[in-house]
Amino acid sequence: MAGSPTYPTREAVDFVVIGSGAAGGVMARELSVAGFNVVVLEQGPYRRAHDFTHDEIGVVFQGELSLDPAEHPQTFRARPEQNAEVPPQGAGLPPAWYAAGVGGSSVHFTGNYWRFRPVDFKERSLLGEIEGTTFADWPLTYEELEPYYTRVDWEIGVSGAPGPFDPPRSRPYPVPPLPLKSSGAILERGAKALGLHPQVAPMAILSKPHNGRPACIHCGFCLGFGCEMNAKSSTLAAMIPQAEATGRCEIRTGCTVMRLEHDERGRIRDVVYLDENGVEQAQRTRAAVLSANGAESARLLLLSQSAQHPDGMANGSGMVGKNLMFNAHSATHAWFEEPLNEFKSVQCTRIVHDFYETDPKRGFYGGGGIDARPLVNSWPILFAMGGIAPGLPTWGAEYKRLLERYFTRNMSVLGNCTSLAMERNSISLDPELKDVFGRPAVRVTYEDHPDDLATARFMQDQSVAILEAAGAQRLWRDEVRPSTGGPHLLGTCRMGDDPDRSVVDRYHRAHEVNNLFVVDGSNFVTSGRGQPTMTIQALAFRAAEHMTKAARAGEI
Amino acid sequence: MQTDQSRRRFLHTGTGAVSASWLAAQWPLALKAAEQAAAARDSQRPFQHLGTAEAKDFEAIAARIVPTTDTPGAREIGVIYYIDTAIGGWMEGVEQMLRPALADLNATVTERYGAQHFHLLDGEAQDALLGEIEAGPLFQTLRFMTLCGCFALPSYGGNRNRLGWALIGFDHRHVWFPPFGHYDAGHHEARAAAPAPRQHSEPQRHGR
Repeated sequence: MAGSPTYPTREAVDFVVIGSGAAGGVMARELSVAGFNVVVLEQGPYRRAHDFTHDEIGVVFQGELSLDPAEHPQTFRARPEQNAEVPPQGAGLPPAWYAAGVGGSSVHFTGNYWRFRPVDFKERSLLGEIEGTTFADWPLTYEELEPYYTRVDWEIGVSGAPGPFDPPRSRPYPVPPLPLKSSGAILERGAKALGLHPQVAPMAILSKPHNGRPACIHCGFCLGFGCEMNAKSSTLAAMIPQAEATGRCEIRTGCTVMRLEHDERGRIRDVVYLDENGVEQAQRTRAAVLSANGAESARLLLLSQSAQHPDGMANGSGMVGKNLMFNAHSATHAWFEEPLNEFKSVQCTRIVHDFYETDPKRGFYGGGGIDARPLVNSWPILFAMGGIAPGLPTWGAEYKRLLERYFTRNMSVLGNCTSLAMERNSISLDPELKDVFGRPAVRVTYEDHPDDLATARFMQDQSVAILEAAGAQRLWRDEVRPSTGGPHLLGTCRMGDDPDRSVVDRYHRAHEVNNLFVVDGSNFVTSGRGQPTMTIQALAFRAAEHMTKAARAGEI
Repeated sequence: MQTDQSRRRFLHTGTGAVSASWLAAQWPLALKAAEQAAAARDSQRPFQHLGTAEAKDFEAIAARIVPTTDTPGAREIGVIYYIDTAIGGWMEGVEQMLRPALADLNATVTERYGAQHFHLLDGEAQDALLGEIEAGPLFQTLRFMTLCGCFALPSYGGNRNRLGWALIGFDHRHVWFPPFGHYDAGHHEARAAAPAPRQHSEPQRHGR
């Protein structure tokens, strides 16, 4: 392996990539493999597989994979006319939730890797305008993106098998499905009884060794935890080592980017950041790739104001930070007669995609996918705290009996749904609150469209029907309520052909800044059906290919 | 990853009076706390942070939340050692709420029963009193600490001999093999009995 370079800050590198997560990790690898000099600025630490644990207190309650909310507060409001406030104490995760560290949120994700279908890219044309929204077609098609989905399958590493509703694929999955779990078997049984078409869940977790990485050993700590085996296909495991192996990619951790600065011609020249010692540095670069996630990419552009960009970098359209989409969702829980032991192995093994597309007969826009999993109830403390069905004792002998019986006998069914893009839902700069570095805090403004909530409720009704058909002893719903946050941070630097209505073009280049690219979930035009990461990465592979061509042609 | 939103809900409904952000701010202390906990428990030393009487009261409350039945309860699982180390470690500061609240509870104990301490009451009286305060911060925080003491890694001081995990059927291994549970067992048996599966590299049906 080549040594990791150390680039001087005052000499321009080819690319600075801001963020090393699902998208940034792909950009780092693709651009360095293509021969460019790359500096990756990551605000979190560099953890390796052996740094991850099964420590529920450390990971779940102390949030050790995320930023400290005391240092990085966020505010929330439902509507733009309201004052945003820091969520009350005890409310848990921040409104825009993500992991900090090399690999970003791909380190702690579940690994659901659903492709979009062709319809996702052109729903506006098929369904027409939806009042009060910025519902639009994507500036690309499924067919254009398919080769890059296939690269995600093979280069990131996805386990799976084709399903009856899948879009066309040019290559089979690289490794077979992960073994069926009891939650998947129950979903399959219930769905088949209703005439539905359950299918294998495609997962970014290896069922067999692939690309020099080992197979999953089914320890059960995927969701929220980092993988101790490198079997989960995070960019930390799948991309970053390959980027570093080129000898051209420097990963600088503990570095928080403060602003982008441009020269008199309007080109990004320096990326200004605080290094791990809190000292301000400026990395000179020929081009910048912003892959900081849908909250932080938008915030950084808004923070990068100048005479040329009074409302923030590349924000002449006013669209930076707008059109935030979280993906609506529903959760339904059930107990069964016999042990499921959902604390073993990965979260999801079966899904139902019969309700994926919008059906005008339902009377509202939207669709989604259903999956079966333990959710958070495979963690003993959280199960004990909140896993007992409503109305039953929460302490005492009967409570204890329920813990003894149902820790091994519970599962959940999730509805993973669409969100409509609306300008009123946004990431913006809080006018008062500052973070530990003095930057205006992330302010989240969000209220689901009524159709989003209707979709989630519809999907919950299907979940209930499936669980009943499967013979659940007892089941209950989490009431579908308006979202107050989420880990899917989509839409805030929308891609499009019209510079007045979008932030980047179809190849992720900022309309107004020739050497600035934004590549992450912020580019989404529509939300998809609740599992965005695979599409984020397919877009990243595609973006990198176009950037490579453009750079070689002297067009950046 | 919709699960994360539900995780937040659990933090919200579950921790009650315990602020998640406050909890999160304490994480650098966790390792120290865990080391102290294990050392204290192994050496059978007296409590590091709790007085004897308050330890008996906290343990008595924990033992009503997860009582000893025909299986071990909070007492046998060693929850009090978790509480002792947590208030001197990653939950440092919580005793500023717990101690006055316990004093209030014991004032009620004295007023109603003439006893000095909660732990001196019988189980029925203890349950009646706890029923009155179960929505409040003392009970909710001790409930949270009891469940951590039962089900966290033993290095935090509780979950002695992994008794808490054994209680609920959780086995902390790093490697599992299918079948994982009752409902998938038939599937794996059927696969094992079937002719050798087709190599995965063969052409697949590529969807429609």
